[in-house]
Amino acid sequence: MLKFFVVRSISLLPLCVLIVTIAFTLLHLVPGDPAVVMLGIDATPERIAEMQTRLGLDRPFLERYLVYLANVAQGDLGYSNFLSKDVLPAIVERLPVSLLLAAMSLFWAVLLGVPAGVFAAAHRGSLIDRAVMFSSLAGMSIPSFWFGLILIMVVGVWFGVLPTGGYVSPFENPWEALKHMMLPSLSLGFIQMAQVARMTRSAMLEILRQDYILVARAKGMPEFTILFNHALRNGLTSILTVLALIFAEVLGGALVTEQIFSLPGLGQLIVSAVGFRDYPVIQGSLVVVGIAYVLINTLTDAAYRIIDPRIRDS
Amino acid sequence: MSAAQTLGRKSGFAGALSLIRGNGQILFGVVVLVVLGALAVLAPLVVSYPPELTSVMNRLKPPSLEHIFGTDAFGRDVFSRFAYGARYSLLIGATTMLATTVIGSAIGIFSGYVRGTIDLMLMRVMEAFMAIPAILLAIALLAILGNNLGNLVIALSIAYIPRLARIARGLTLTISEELYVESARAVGARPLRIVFHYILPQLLPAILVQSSFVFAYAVISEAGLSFLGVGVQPPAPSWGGILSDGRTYMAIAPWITVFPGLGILLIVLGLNQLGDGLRDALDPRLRSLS
Repeated sequence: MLKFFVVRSISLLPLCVLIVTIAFTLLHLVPGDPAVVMLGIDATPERIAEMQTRLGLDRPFLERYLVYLANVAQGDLGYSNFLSKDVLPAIVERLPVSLLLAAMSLFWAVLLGVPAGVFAAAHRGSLIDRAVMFSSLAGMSIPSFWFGLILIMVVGVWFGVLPTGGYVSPFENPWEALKHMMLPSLSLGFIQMAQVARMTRSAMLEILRQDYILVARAKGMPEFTILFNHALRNGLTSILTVLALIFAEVLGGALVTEQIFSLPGLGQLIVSAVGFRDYPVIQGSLVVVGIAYVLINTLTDAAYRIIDPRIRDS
Repeated sequence: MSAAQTLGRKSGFAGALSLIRGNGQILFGVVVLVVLGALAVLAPLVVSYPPELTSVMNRLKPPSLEHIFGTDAFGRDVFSRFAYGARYSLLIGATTMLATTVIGSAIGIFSGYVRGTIDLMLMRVMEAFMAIPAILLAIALLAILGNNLGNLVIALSIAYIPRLARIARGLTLTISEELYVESARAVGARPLRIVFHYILPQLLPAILVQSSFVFAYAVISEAGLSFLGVGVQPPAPSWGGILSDGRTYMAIAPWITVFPGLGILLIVLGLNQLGDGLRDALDPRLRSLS
C-alpha cells in the first residue's frame, strides 16, 4: 500500500503542476494591466507599481511562472490586498465549511441513493423501481440552488422546523451544527442521490444476472444478504467511481448552495473576490480545489484496492 | 442498431421524423425545446407588458388573469420576464453546446487519431481542467475576462470542452482500430478524409448525445452564475437573475422564485430525456457509458 501511494503521488505531480499552470495563466488573460484593473483607474502610479511588483508583473514571463510554481509548492498562494492577509490561510479558514457541506451531501447521496438503487434493481419494473427512476430523473434536472430555495420556503418558513441559514462549527455545538447543515446538504445531496441511485441500479442489474447470485439463491440464502453482502460488494467499485466523479460537481454546487444558506464557505470568498477583482484569491481557489480533487481521486483508487482484491493483486 | 439503420436509408429529415415518432423521450425533449423556443422567439408577441415596465401600484401581486405569473418587487410582470429570460437560457445554452461540441470533438478526434506524446499531453491538460468544478472555472474566467454574454459562453465552453474531448478521443481510439479504417489507410486515403468520411460519422451519435447533456449543464450553470450575480447582469431578465431577485421575497411572494425554477427544470428535463432517448435510439452500445 505504501509503495502504491508513493508511485501514485509521483505520477500525480504533473497533473498538479498543470492545475497550477492553468491558475497562473488566467491572470495573463486579463485585458490590460491586472494591477490597474485591481486597483481602479484612480490609483496612484506608486500603488500600481507596488501592485505590479507584488503580482510579479515587472519580471519576465518565464521567471514569474517558475516563481509562482515554487511559491505554490511551498504553500504560498500570494497575498490578498482586499482581505489584508495571505491567500492560503484565507482559503483554509473557509474550506472546512465547503468540505463539510460537500461531505454531508455525499453522505445523503450514498445513504439514500445506494439502497434506493439496490431495491430498484431487485424489483425491476415494480412501483419502487419506477419511483426511484422517476425521482432520480427529477433530481438530475432540478437546479440544486432552486431546490434549496424551495426547501427554505417549505421546511424553514412554512413549517419552521430547521434553521434556514448561518453556520455553527461542529466543534462548538455538534447538534446545532447538524441542524444548520441539514437543509443545505439535503438540497445538494438530493441531486447527487439521483446519480448514485441510477448508477447503483444499473450496476446491480448487471450483477444480479451472474451465476453466483443464482447459487446463493439456490442455497436458500436470505434475499437481504444476497443483495447487500454478495451483489452490492461487487458493485461498489462502479459506485465509487461515480462518487469520485461527482465530488467535483458537489464542490461546485456547494459554492452556490452556500450563498443561499449564508454559509461562510469558499463560495462566499470567491464571489466576493470576483467583485473586488481579487485575482490572487481566485487563482488560489482554483489551485486548492483542483488539487483537492486530485487527492480525492487518489484516495478512491486506494479504496478500490481495499474493496476489490482482484485490483490489489494485479 | 435498427433505428440507426433506418435512419441511414431515409433522407435526413424523414429519418429525424421517424426517430421522434418512435421514441417518447425524444418526442418529449423536442416538444419542450420547441415550445420554450417559440416562447423565447415570440416573446414580444406573447406578453402583455414589457419586461422592464415597473409599476409601483402592482408590487408583489400574486398570479392573476392580468399577470399569470404574478408581479415582482418592482411591479414587473413575472411572465414577461420569464418569456424574455427563456431567450438567455436557450441562447447561451445552445451557443455553448455548439462551441463545446465543435471544439471538444475536434480536440478529441485529433488527440485520438495522432496518439503518442501529443495525445498524452493533451489528455493531461483536459484532466487538469476537469479537476476544477465547471462552475468555479467559469466564475474565475468571468472574473478575469470581464462580464458579458460572449465571455459567459466562452467561460462555459472552456469548462465543458474537456468532457467532450475525452469521450470523442476514447471513441476515436477504438474506431481507428477498425478494419475499414485500416483499409482506407491502405488504399492511400489522406488523414483528413479518413477523419471526415470514416471516423466522424461513427462518432456522431455519441457526440449528439453528449451535446444535449452539455446544453442541459450549460443552462443550469448559466442560471447558477446569474444567480450568484456573475452571469447575465440585471436588469436583464435571465432566469437565474429572477430567482436571485425573488429570494428576498420568498416568504410573501413565492411565485417570483417558483416559475423561473420550473422553467429551468423543464428545459433540463427535456434535454436529459432527449439525450437518453437519442442514446437508446442511435447507439445501444453507449447505454453503459453514462
